[in-house]
Amino acid sequence: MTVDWHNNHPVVHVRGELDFATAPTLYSALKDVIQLGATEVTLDFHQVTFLDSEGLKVILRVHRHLRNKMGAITVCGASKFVAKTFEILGLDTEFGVTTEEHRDQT
Amino acid sequence: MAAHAFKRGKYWLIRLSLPPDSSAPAQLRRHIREAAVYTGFAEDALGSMLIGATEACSNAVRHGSYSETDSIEASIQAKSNEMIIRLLYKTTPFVLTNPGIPNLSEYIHVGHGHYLMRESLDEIHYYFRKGSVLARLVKRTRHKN
Repeated sequence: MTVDWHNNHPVVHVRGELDFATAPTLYSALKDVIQLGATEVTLDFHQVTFLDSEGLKVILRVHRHLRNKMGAITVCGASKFVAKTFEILGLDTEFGVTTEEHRDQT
Repeated sequence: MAAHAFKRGKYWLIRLSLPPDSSAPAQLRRHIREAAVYTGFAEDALGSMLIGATEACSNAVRHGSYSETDSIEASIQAKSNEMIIRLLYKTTPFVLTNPGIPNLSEYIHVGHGHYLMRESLDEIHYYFRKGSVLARLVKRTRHKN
């Protein structure tokens, strides 16, 4: 997991499987960028191969925290498979999830 | 992780002993993918099975009652149009609820793994036996061979 900063806007590049075992690592990374003052956070999911409810819970928890500060988390580059997990729980619009297909079209 | 596999034609059966810790879901997914490749199980159905099985396995880790020597006994039975996963683990009986559409305000406090399972799988059964539960998960593809 790496973070690129564009002015005050961090892009967190997440890799591999995001599940019960790895979600705490994402939570730590997001806590760090928030402590550095970020309110708008982009999660780059191009290299995420799996997402479960624990990963989603972390994203939602931080998203709600940021919303209280007029911020948000957005998710870009999700594979069709990973985007499906957001869709099943009705969270795709909440996070403005864009997929790899969106990127190819633009 | 101990594993015993049986392959015949396009039929796959593997029995696994998974550690009751956070590494178990990833280990289970690896074997599910292998079974899908071997049997030609459809990609979209595979994705759904990965989601459902992960949630069930995570629940087994979280809610199981394990001693140092206990494990989660799993099996993956697959053919091209159907995959069945069984997870046997020690736990106390619980009541299954039928989760509704997730409420965002509750999501932080209550994971909706069970809802993901319901939406992803064709069948979910839990059978309770003397201090253990057997979870049986089924996913089918639309085509028939």
